[in-house]
Amino acid sequence: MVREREEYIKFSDGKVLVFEHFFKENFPKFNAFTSRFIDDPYVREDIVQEAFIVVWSKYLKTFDSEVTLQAFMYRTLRNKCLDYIRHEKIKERYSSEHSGEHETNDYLMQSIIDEESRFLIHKAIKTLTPQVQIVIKLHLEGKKNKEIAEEMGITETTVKFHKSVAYRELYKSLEHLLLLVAVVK
Amino acid sequence: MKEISRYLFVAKLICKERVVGLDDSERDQLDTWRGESDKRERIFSSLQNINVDELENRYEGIDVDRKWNNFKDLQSRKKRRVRMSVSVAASVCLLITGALWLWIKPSEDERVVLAEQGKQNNVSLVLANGETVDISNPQKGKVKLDQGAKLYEGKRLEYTRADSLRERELEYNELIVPKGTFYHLVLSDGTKVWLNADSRIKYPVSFGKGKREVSLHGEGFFEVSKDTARPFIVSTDRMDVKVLGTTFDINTYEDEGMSYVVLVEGLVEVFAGKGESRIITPGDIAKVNMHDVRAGIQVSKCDVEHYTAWKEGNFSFRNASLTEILKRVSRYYDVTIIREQMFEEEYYTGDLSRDVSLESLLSVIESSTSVSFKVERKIVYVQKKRD
Repeated sequence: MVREREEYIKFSDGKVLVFEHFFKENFPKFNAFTSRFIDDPYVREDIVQEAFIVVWSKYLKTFDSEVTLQAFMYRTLRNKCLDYIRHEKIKERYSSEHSGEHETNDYLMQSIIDEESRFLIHKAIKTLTPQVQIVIKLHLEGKKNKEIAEEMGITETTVKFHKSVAYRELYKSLEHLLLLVAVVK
Repeated sequence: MKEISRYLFVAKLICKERVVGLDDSERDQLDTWRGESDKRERIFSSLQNINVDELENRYEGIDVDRKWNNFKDLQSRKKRRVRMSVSVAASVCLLITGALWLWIKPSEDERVVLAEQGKQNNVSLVLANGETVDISNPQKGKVKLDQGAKLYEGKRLEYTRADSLRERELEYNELIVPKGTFYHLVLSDGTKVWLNADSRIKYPVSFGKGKREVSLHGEGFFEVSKDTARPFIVSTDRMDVKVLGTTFDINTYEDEGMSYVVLVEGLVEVFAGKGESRIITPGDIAKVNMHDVRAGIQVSKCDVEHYTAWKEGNFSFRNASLTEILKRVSRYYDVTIIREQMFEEEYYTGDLSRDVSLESLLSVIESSTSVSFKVERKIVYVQKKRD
């Protein structure tokens, strides 16, 4: 009577997502997110695996879009982390520093926006060639073209050229991101 | 969830702002968001200087292929276990208890009724037309039931009328099980329910095309027939349990002011309070406080077998207070329990078969506690042991 688990996540707009891709792409992000609540890497891995299992279950209501799915994952992870912390607190293994703040909505907002922004930036940069990556990396650290040129031992013109290549590439890779933005609005 | 979707939207704006810059309408949106609070502005400015090497460490140190293999192992293990445990078709088990005991602080040495014998001792069924019939002794043709319902020897009632998929008014029956007995019910969709003593359940004679909904007071163990198109919902006073999948065992118990669901296999969603809902995974217990309306749903891991022992005919106590144990004795043996003297609360852990007689059960309890019992015609008197 047990059907084979489906390997795709279907969205109500008809789009599908290969579960394995979703898992592999997002595991590092969700794992990093849980580190904002819990230190123990083994506990964190268990929590992230469990959250994926919840999504994996085909019985779950279908998600409207990938955004809803991502939101669901974040919410599930946060709840599981807080449950763990509360449980540990009962066992008095956790000190008071773990009280309060973690449970607030502000902390949740900060954690999600910070994690998601960093991850998106990281993903975008990874699409670039190594040389161009370095230029963007220095740019993101707040350095001017002149400083970048000096640090890399190239001319300012080359820096500008690399940047223009980078922007073209980044626009391309961010295009689908912006489509998602349109959906959220 | 809407809230979190909004955070994700803001993160996308920030990413684009950092990497390639925003167009005017995007910049407007981001600025509006930032302007709403200092907290938001701080989140935004903390992302102004990003160290790419740090990002590299944050996200690249993990071997995702290995994690994926772990995940698949975990899945197939779960699947195997599911196959073995669910020989009775795809099913869900749900146990719900709903007896709220009031505890009034008594003075020393005052007689207190801890639990009372049930007011009735026959199993009754309220029919769709409101008539109540006694179904304790099923004699063929003697009891009038609604269409599709059938009584069997051995305390068993089955509904066989096919579910109608047309929109129509549902007809309800209510099964009332008194203290001291148990009952087995099969609903029209094939869902099986074991009702514990002192419980009642209300359900449609046959389900409609929408969700399958029943309401329960007391305690019940459910094996829900699989039907993803029509979710199965059990509503109780303080929480609702929505069965999202098959192959698991939920268990809500409302006892000592606490309602709870214990999940063995699969997935359920628990609703309580002001629109709060939680999805729980196997091995989890979700608790809701009965007295505090604002209290949320608490989820933690638990020993599942302990919570479902009653269905196998066993008493299972984990750190249960003497009072709690005696109340359960009252429910299962249909006796009144009167405390003759104040005793100090003690806590016990242990498992007992419920096939034993009341007297031998009480003597087991007596041997390991500081109280003694005297039984007189369905009344158990609890006294302090004399030294």
